[in-house]
Amino acid sequence: MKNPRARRNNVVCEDLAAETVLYDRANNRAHSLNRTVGLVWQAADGQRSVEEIAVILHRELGIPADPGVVLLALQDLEGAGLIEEPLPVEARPELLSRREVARKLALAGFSMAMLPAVASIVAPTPAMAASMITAQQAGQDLGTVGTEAYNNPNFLTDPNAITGLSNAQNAYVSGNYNTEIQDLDGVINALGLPPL
Amino acid sequence: MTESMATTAEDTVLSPPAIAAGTSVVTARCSAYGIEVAVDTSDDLFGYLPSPLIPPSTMRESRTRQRIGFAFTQTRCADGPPLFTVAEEGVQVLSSSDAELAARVLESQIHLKVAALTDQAVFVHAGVVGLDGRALVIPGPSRSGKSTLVDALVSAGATYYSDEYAVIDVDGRIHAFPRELRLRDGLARDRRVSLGGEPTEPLEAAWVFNLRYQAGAVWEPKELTPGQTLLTLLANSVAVRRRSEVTVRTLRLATAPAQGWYSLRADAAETAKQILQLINRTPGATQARSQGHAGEDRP
Repeated sequence: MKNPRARRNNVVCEDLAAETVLYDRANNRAHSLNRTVGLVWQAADGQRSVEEIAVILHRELGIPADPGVVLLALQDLEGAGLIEEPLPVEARPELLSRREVARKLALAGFSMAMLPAVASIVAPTPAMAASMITAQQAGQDLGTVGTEAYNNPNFLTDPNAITGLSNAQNAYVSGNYNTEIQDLDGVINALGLPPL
Repeated sequence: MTESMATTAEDTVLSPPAIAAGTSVVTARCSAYGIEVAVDTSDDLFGYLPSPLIPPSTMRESRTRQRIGFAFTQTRCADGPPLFTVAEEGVQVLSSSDAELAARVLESQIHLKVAALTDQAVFVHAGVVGLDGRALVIPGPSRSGKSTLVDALVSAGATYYSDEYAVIDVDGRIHAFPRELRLRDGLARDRRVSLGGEPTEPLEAAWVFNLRYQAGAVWEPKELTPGQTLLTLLANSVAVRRRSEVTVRTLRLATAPAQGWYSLRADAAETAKQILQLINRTPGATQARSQGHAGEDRP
């Protein structure tokens, strides 16, 4: 398997104590990586193998040096658009389910906080962030969905997660909406007038 | 100003009506956060303008970097009600038969523009109150019930800072944006409560509450991690796309001493009580966190 390489170009990084917050300027999404995924993101430089990264996780977090944890973190990073190349097909059979990795960590006596987790949001435009604008509500919903991603770590790998969003949210995700129309709808709504 | 209001062929359809000949033009000006706002209007509409156009700020005023022109005009039709029009840089934003509502849209547009263009602070859509010298921030969009909740917290003894924006300086401190508190009476109208006025001192954020209104919801607060707390503010920040690096860094500083919570909520008065009970139960966590982000290890 080719060594994984995380995307760092055009990405703003802020390290918190136990998390890493990334802002991806390429698609205006922000992510909060828990400690495990943050370490994998930092270590995945194209030089280290998955096994070597697993050793880093073992050294830094004390968890078993299990490539399955690294692959799960890489899958999360891939879902967030933070990997240079997709995970190779040959790595997929090694990829354990989140449940399997959780079980292995639990059996080894580790907290679920070590389980790879990424929360993501789409950053709003000023128009989206404005009072009285419909799309802004969509942004908030996405923000909340992103926050809830920690409670439901399968969020980013769940194909229904994005497709289940409302039309406004989908428009928000894709950026495919007309700001003026959204503004007008929002104003009409704020004025308590019937829709056009 | 007159030149900036000129229309082009492309926006002819959207261009606002000019102030009628013979009507004296009055221009209201206000400068804050490095942005100068000018509103052209007529004598008889001047009283509808928000005063001041931008709430007073505790931030040190620096030189003006950008100017924005608005117009608030009235069109009289022979066989219909007058129409009140708001325009920004010559492009119509809204036309309404209700002058007060048009003025409210104008105010929101002015504030949004300042929030989007300033380089002096990070503006986050949020309600803010002060409690024991620290800030409680409730980020959220319009119609998420921020104002009602802010009003309930103020009634419970908190100090009013804002019901629209948390203004965050480069050190991560929260400044007031003290426009008059707006409480919605039904869909069509806002009720203004005079809680605005002179700005109070900037505060360190101690609590961030990401709340979603749902009728009959059960209050079940879950503590957010620092990263989630930061994302909660980021999802409501106005200029993050234009100033991503500064915004993320500023929000990290702002949330470093803060404790983040998420919950569904119902009635505002009841939620205010629940918030205050929660804060009183967990003061130690906030004190510990205020020692700094680094070295903290919260699972």
